[in-house]
Amino acid sequence: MNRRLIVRIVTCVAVILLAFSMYFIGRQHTILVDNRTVEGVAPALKSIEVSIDKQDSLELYPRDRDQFVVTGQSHKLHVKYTDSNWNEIDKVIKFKVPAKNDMYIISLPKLAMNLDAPQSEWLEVFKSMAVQADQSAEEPIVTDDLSAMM
Amino acid sequence: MKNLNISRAERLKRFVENNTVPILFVIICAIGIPLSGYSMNYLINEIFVRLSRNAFLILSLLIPIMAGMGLNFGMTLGAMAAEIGLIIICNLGVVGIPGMILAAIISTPISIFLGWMCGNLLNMAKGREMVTSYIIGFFVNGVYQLVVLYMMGSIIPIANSALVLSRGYGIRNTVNLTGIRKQLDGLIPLRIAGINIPIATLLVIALLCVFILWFRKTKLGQDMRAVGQDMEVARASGIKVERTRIISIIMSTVFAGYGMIIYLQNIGTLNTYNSHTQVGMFSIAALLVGGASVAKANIRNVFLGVVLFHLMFVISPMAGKNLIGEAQLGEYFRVFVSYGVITVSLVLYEVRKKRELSYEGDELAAEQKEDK
Amino acid sequence: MMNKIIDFVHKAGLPRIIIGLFLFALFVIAPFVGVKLDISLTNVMNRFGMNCVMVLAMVPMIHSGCGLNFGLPLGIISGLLGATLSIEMGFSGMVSFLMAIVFSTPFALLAGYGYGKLLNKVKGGEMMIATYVGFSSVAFMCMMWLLLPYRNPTMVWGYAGRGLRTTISTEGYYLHVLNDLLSLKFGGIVIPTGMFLFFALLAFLMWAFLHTKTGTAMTAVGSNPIFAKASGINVDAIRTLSVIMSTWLGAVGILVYEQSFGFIQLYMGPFYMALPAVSAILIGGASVNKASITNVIVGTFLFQGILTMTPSVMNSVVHTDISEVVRIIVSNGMILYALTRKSEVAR
Repeated sequence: MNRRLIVRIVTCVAVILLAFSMYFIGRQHTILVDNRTVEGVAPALKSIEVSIDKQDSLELYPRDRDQFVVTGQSHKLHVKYTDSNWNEIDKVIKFKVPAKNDMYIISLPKLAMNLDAPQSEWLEVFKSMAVQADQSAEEPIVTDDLSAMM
Repeated sequence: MKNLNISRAERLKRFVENNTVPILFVIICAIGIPLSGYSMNYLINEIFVRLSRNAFLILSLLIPIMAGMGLNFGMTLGAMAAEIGLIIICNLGVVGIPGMILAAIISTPISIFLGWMCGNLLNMAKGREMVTSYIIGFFVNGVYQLVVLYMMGSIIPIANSALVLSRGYGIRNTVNLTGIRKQLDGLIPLRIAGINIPIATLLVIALLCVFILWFRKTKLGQDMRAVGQDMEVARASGIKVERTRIISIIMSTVFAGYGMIIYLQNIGTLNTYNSHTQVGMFSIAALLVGGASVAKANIRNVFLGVVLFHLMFVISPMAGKNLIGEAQLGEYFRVFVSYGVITVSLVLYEVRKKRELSYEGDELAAEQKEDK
Repeated sequence: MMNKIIDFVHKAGLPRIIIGLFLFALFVIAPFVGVKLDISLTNVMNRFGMNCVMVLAMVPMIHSGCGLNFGLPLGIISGLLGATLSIEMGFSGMVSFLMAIVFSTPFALLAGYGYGKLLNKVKGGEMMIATYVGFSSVAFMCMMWLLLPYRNPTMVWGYAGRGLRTTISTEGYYLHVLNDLLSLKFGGIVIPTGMFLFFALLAFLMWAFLHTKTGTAMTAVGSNPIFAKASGINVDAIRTLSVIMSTWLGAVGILVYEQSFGFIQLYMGPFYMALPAVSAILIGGASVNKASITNVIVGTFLFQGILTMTPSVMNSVVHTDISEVVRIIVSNGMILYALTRKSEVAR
């Protein structure tokens, strides 16, 4: 009986651990990559090719912003560009995003200032401004169970 | 020679008698397929889609039948638990297979609780389990609406504003499940002659089949069958009848929840307030079409049932349109057939039960006469 | 004193008292939150009148031991056939209503006869089968509404010229014929006297029937079929009769409902109409095998009262309409309560 109890507790704990690991593994994030001049800090890059993990790379020109949708917290950022001294730079940078936020933004000009800087220098949580855009569009709630039948 | 013929004719007659419903459906489909004008390729593709979508749900019905509790109309409870799990993962932003697993884990305690409640109520209503489980489905639907429509977003925080109605609380009519859409179906893609075969989903279904076959042989499975045969005999031999019945309903509810997650990942959108309501009816109808009865069902019935029932389902609107220029008629026809099949099966079951009882009674009377 | 209260609670049943108190509370709160009582009362009376005949339809089958008539849609369909035929023929006013009853009667008798025979074959499992007989018949009639050769332009789809519409207005035919008959007005309160009288007539007939020889035989069949059989009652015939009565009352019930509601709802309309009627009679104090006219009146009043009062009061208090959810939970909870009561299982 005692053994049974232990097995049950262990199973419960294992399932809860599995649930948490699933949360961290499957958590989806949107990562914006941004190539805009940061006033007085870093000028935009003429042209930069970026990709995250193994997704198709994107080419960004000044004032461009695009996004990658990723799952999980550890990612590799691959950047390829020519800097102001005509040096070809091709580098993979690892970074981590905390699971609790949906969106992050990477400022490429800031990153290009110092490729070895800690991620906090160029990665920020992004708060979407476009919340509740469709306030007006209110659909009626259909609780009628017969409509599903047709 | 003549003798053999008679026995063969008799055997045929018995076969037809025992498989009336599937044979009827084969005939309906045989007439309907040419009328609908669909290509074979399309139909086979469609069968695979429906098979992977529905088989798990239908398999969840087998265990209560084993325990003699009839068709579990309360499987909608599991479906509702699964929907709550899916709403939560959408809110958390968890996607893909991990999302599905997380939804399944979240749904499990809810399913267990609902199944436990349902089992207890059914123990209070022995002899009318089916109608009671049916009403439990409606009742819990009300509670589900209370939670999802009024408590989510107000009492239960929902961070993802895309899920919430613009009035500030309550989940929208449809929840987009883009994050888990076709994730399991597409996990191991296979395409043969233009037909997509969702291997991973079929594997999961096969796993449940193996589990059910194994479960029949376990102590608990044997107990359930004993309870299904005769509650009083089972009780006399020391089986905890009530507990066994509750467990069978809990298992069914939990599996129905997982089935619902598989079903919805295939469809890709959750109709928050009515995805679950018809699931029970269609699953039960499909199982019965496969030749199952209220008292006996096996895995073969599930697969045959899915194929025949959903074939009818796919072709009837087009067949109706081509026959009398009214697709609506085909749609009504399939609804009628679904309900008709359940009605006929229920009637046959009750009639047989009564006949058996009276047969036993006659035997008893005959014995008593002999004793005198 | 305390004993008396406990006795009363026991007799009336706890859920009934809770529902009664809830309704009472709603009526008390209503004026304070700005709900007009006269309009509410008019609504409650109107909906009471609309629904009570369908609730009355539950009585004969419960009496004969066939359980709750979840197959009420079958009767409703007979009523709909009568209604559409009467409109097709172009009758108007009270004649239209009476003709609808006349036309629906043969359908109700036939359908009820078949339904009764079927239920005799499945004793013990009536309720589940009744549910599905109701559903199948609704689905079957969905096809028929499309195919039957109705021609009256107020009923068929304009563009196709055939196939009945999903909702048909009873305006110009028998809209409010009972509501307006002898209706009384006290300030803002309107009493639909005609509807009440019609119900009273049917209820009286039912009461009288239950006191005839056949009626007492029906009660005997319900309370103890073996004893009834032993004392020479044809159990099956009595049961069939009760089902026919139930079906016919269902047909008349839907006509009364429509004349007040203003629309005939075809196709999937009758699908879930059995549930409110079933729960109403249960709220009124009936059980799976015992029901009286009082149960019908009390139950319909409580149930419809809650349905009418909850939305208006809730809307003024919290600005949300949770009446739909309240309806689902109360009505199905009530049915569950009746189905799971131990004392009634041993029949």
